[in-house]
Amino acid sequence: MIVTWEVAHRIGLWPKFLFPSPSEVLYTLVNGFHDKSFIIGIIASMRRIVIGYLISLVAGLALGLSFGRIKFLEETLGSLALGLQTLPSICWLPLALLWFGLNESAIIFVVIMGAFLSITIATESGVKNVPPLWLRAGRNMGAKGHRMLLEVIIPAALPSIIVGMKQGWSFAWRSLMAGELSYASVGLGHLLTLGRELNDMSQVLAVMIVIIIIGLLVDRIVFANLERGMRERWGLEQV
Amino acid sequence: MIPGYTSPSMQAAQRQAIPKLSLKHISKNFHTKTGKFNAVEDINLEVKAGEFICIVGPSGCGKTTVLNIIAGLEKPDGGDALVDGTPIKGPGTDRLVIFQDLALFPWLTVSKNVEFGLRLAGVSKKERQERAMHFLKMVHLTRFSNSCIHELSGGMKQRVALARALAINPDILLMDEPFAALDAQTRDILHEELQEIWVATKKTIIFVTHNVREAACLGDRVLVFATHPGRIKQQFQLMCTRPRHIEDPGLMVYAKAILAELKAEVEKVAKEELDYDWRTVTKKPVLRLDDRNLGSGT
Ligand SMILES: Nc1ncnc2c1ncn2[C@@H]1O[C@H](COP(=O)(O)OP(=O)(O)O)[C@@H](O)[C@H]1O
Ligand SMILES: [Mg+2]
Repeated sequence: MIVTWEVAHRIGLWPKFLFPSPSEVLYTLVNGFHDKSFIIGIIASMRRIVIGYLISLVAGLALGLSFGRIKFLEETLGSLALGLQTLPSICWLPLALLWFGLNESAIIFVVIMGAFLSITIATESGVKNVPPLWLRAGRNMGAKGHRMLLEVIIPAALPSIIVGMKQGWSFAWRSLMAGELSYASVGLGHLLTLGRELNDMSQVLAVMIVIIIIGLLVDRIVFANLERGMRERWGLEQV
Repeated sequence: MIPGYTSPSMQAAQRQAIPKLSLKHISKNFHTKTGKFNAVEDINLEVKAGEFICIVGPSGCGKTTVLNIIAGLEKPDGGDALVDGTPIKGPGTDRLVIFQDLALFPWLTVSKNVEFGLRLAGVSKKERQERAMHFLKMVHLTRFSNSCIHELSGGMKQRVALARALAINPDILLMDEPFAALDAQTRDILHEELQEIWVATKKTIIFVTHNVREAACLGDRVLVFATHPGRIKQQFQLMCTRPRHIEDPGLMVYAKAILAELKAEVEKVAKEELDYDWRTVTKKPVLRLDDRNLGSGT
């Protein structure tokens, strides 16, 4: 495919500045890492997503667990969470800009709004679907209160929680890119905007490749392993 | 009687007259969409320490409910449930249930499942592991201590559930149709081992089954439950020597008597539940060699 692309480019099937050749993209890619501009961008983006995602994880787990265990909260706030989840999280950006100003917090806030509701909802449904038999067995063997939560409810809800974490990550990553494209001075999204402004198509493509690779790495390495480990242990079908 | 073995029930009788477990006029209602449902009514039972009680009855007659009440997982609506003369206030690790569906935890390995109750009790890691190993050895499962639950056969899962309960060292084991889903050979072996373990550990066991011959094989006493509402209809004291095997001819006379009692009850339920043209002639009860499955049990 790459060869076809290169050949098509050489024989001039399209104007050269609109779509660069693979070798040009590769050159920009290497150069980007060499002059550290890509590395700085990656670090800036990763910092935001890691902070945002960790906050989402803690908040989502806490809220999901309380929704799942406390009927009152679920009835009042549960449907609100479901409703808010349908809102693409980038829509929070104007609000975030008003609240926090044009800075890191605003973008991290958008990342959090992307991930945290998915994690909350998945945790809640995982907790609510824990088979009552396991709860009885736990109670029978002396589990109650936080021990029950830690030793029975959370492990039993883990399959659902992992699905939510994975979905939350991909929402967070998308939100981050959307946020950085619009309002950021560093980061991968910003490098894309920069490429466009300089009419440097090979930079745009190179950054896109970096974004795809990071997304794939996290999905295939972190989450795939997490999920596989859990599925093997539980004896669930591998997907 | 096994030589050199004084039954725990005899020792307890010497010590004191208070029964290990006593249920007095226990009743339990469930509130359903169609109204109040009287699951069990006026259950009276005294169990001596070390006694092996089997309960048979048509499905839905409240056997599981009674176990849950003893376990403290369910509160009776009336009557008193006492262990060693003290009222049952809630769940306690002196009374452990082996649930019908086992309720092993799939996120833990075999040995971690066995250690579960010990970890909750704050037993140190080293002692936990030792005790888990001890009981896994008792159920002949040491080779699988690091396996995942789903890798085990049905019989092996039963062994894990038994080891998990024994590890917590309860006085009373409450077993809810534990061997119902196993093949006859595996069940035979487990009958034998359960009797050995019972003798070795001196537990008081209450064992629910819908298999009459299993009840006759295992129980010192067999209770036949009646249904609507659930209550004890008849009791059989079995004087046969141990260890017993399910095919022992001496057990047949008991099994037949229990079956006759149970069959009348099962047919009564069928008449209530099925259309009137369901066969109304009660045939003479026959014991087939294959296991009689009188009701699915819930
Ligand atoms: N939580 C519950 N809510 C309503 N009805 C119940 C509940 N648990 C049991 N029952 C009913 O009580 C009766 C006795 O149940 P159970 O003790 O499980 O019977 P068994 O174990 O003898 O088959 C059944 O008719 C069952 O439908
Ligand atoms: Mg039952």
